[in-house]
Amino acid sequence: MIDLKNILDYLNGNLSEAEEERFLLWLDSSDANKEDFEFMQHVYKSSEGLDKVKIFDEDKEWAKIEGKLDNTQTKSLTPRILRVIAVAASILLFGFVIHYFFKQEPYYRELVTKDNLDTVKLIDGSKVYLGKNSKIKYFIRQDKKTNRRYVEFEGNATFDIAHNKDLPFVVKVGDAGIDVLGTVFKIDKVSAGIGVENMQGLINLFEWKNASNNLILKQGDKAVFTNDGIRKVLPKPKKVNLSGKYYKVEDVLDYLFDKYDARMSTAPYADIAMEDKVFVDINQSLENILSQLDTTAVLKYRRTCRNCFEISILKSK
Amino acid sequence: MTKGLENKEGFKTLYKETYGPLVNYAYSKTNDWELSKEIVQNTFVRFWNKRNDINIRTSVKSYLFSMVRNGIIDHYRKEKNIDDFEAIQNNKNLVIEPDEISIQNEYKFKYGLKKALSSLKEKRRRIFELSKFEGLTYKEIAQYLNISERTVEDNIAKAFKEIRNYFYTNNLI
Repeated sequence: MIDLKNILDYLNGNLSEAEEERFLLWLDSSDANKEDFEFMQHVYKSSEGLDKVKIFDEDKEWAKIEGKLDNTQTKSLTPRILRVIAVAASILLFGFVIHYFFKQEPYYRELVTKDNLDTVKLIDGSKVYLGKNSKIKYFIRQDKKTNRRYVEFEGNATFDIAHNKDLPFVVKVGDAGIDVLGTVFKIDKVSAGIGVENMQGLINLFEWKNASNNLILKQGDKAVFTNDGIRKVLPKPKKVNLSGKYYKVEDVLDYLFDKYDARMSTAPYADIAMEDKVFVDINQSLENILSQLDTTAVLKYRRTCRNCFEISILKSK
Repeated sequence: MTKGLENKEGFKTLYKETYGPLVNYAYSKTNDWELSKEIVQNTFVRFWNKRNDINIRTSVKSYLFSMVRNGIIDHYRKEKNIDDFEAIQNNKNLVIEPDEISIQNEYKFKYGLKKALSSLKEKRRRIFELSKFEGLTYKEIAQYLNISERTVEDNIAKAFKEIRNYFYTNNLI
């Protein structure tokens, strides 16, 4: 049986030849024996000069360095934190760019007038002539997904809208909305509510929350939007020219045919009482003569062209 | 992430395992304990700070030995004693020479052995030291300590056994 003492004796050269032969047989008999021997041999050889090796209290030594690590750790992390911040900033910037360039809704700008007048020219070519004490929020950019031209307004202004059949122009004014394709209209803040006068083309005045409550305004039409609804404003009665004298209907017509020829006609089967006398001042324009007759006689006529008239009924009252 | 550098606790373990051998290794080149400790500590600080950028192709411990060796060379260059030191070490390349690995391993082993010895009982350690450091025979030790030769033999054998257990327990072999 070979034990630790035999190994030491072998290393110290204290074995006899027979003991050494037996020891070497033991050594070759297994790897575990070899490992034991090699370790012992390593210790045996390393023992020499071991007095020069100094051991340290590692915990104490660690305490010396730990403080330095804390400081330097922060430094070492700084670039990483900066990198994280840089990445976050890049993402934000990227998001902002995406948001800026691909925003679905257009950006808007506001303009307010006080005691001054101002004009806004919109990017679609429309113009808004602002009155005093008015405020407009208007679009300054549109993209492909924009399906309307939208403006919010308060106060008084005249809108000259550039025609665009694909992009309706919508004005939100208070609780009302005005929907147009291209026209000229005027909005006034009146005591009763919002006054709208259409000066050209057609506009649709509607309640913002209930678009079916609406009124189509033709050229020259005026309407007022109030809490009670939309009311059309009837034109004021024309002033009647009370000057003039009584003429026979036949004489009046002869005068008009003679003077206005192409613009004046009578309808087939017209009810015209040639012998009746009607009160009229014939020294005025055709329109005014007809207007005056409309009040002093029984008159019915219609426009056949821009300035052409066809009389169907004319007789004394 | 290299083992031992995942977090500070891992690094602390690595530090405690390698600090002693590294300082002793540095001392073998400098013959100055304070300088050796300073170089090793700076090495660990630099190693921790650059842990994310270090690409280690050898073991971490071998890498640390190389860093210490280069730290010593840098120190001597700064002190303009490079000519003297180059007689000992003239290669700053990180490639570790085979004999250098052997030397480094020897320092790891010797430091472990010294630690193992320090864990022995006083009497057993003394007997072992008289035998190995003083070169006394078992008989001389027995006479010197006024104990039987058999007791010396037993203590030497038990010392080796405990040393081996210490190495196994501390993963030194």
